[in-house]
Amino acid sequence: MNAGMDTTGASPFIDIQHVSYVYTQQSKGEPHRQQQVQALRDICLSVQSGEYVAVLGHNGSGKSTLARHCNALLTPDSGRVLVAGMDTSDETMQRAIRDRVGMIFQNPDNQIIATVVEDDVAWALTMRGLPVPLIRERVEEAMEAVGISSLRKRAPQQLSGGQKQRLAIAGVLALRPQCILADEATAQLDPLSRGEIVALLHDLNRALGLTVIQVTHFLEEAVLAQRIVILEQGQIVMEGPPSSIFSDLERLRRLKLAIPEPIELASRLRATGLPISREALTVEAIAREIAR
Amino acid sequence: MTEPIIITEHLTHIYNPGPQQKVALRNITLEIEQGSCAAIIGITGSGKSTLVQHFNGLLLPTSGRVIVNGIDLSAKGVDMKALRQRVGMLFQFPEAQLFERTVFADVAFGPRRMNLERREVRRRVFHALDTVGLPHSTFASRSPFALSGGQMRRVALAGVLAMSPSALILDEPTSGLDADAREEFYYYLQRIKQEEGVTIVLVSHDMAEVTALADWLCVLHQGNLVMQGIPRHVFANGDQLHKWGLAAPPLSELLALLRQQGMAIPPETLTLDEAFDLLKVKDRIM
Repeated sequence: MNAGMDTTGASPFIDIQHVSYVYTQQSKGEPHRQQQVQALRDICLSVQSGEYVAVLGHNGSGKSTLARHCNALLTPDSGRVLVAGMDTSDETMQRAIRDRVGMIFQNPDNQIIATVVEDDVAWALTMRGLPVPLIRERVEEAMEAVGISSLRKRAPQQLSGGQKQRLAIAGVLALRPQCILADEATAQLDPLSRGEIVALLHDLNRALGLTVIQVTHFLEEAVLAQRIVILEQGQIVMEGPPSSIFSDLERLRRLKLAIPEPIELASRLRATGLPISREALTVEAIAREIAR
Repeated sequence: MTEPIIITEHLTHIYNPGPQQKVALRNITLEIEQGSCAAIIGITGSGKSTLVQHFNGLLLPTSGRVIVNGIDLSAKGVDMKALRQRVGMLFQFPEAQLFERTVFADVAFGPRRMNLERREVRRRVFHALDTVGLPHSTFASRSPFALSGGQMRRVALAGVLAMSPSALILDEPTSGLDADAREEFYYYLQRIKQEEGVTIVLVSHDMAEVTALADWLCVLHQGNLVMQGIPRHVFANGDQLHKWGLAAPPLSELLALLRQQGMAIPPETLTLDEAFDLLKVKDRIM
């Protein structure tokens, strides 16, 4: 893989240390005035190599700002972020950091450049001037991993939303990153495609050992994550495995997150004395528990 | 039984007729009742948008008829401008189309072009703002860009309402909003339907949205109307929905799995409360 990798024992792959970040925007409604928005306040979070972390929060909670700190698209005003030991504020490291942490965005159309699927997957490799046989191999592998090999000759605009997101993921995978950062990557997809993209992220996490950081405002997309982190007003307000996060539905509601109905039902039934495990969070698992 | 406000009879739409033609809609016959909320569901490319663009004459059928308020839209001399005031359309991410300096001016844009008296414009704008939960005394003079995403979207909705439409077509109206803003939007849409009697046509692939609002569902697949009915009946057919690339709401999927386990859950169970009432006395249905 990448040469010169820092793999110093148990140190986290991404280490966010006391990060605060303020951005300046035009004051709403008064274009001449500027306004300071504190997007992140003293965030500490570490992500281990190979971990699957879901970052949740409603619109404006700071979750996308946090994600952009994980691959040096943004750098902290105070505190620091280390990716595989490299400081994101060190400009000489930013290229190496972005090679390791690939990002997928909400709108797949903004990430597609070429006019043919396989050329698009090859794009970043071509830009880096890699030898053609190597590019071929990497592109094959990446298309295979996300299941778009049969679409290789298609024009991207002929693809469905879900297929476009797979293409975007393939483009990132071709660079052989260690981590995929998916920023609301399912927000514009239909429910079935949403489920498929989340399943794909889990597959890549398991099969390739990729670290996955998935930013979303859909709680149901986070039930299979190893850890859930919830942001509110730029601070981490809840953190833990899904079974503990979902044990306080009232709190989730106050954080303006919509509770998936099957989980709500399981919780209400549990309250009447039915023995339903708190670990059961997917539709299938809840059905098994209820029917037991 | 109330009158249908929108009727399509054997509606077929072909883009680009000729050797390269694409049949977008095939032989669609449906009725949308006055004062109801109908949802058109289907995956990307199933023909949803093409269908609803026939309801206000943005597209005309290649063959078949579309009848709105008793008027055949393909007939000669149809006043399309008047039609589009009666059938308002809110596109996806409508807040991107806000442009005026004040909320008032933005909402007034449509009615001003209808040659109404100034006082009537004012009355309509105030009423529309109040109806979508943005009291005019607080919001009329503010800049639309100083509002939250959910509020901006309701300003756009008020802009369509101020034209006093009898039907409203909404394309994915809550996509991109968070849970709270979505709930609020549902609430005001319900009010518009109940208090103003406006017929609502929803284009959606968000089943939560559909469950919250619609009383009739039309399922499109590859340009065909493959199923229609009340949500309870449509969502009881989870397997078929999967074939068309759709999913029933998660709760319906859960109940379907329980039925497979042999539990006696009536197929029309739809809401959380109904499911809870059934399952809390589980012994009775095992």
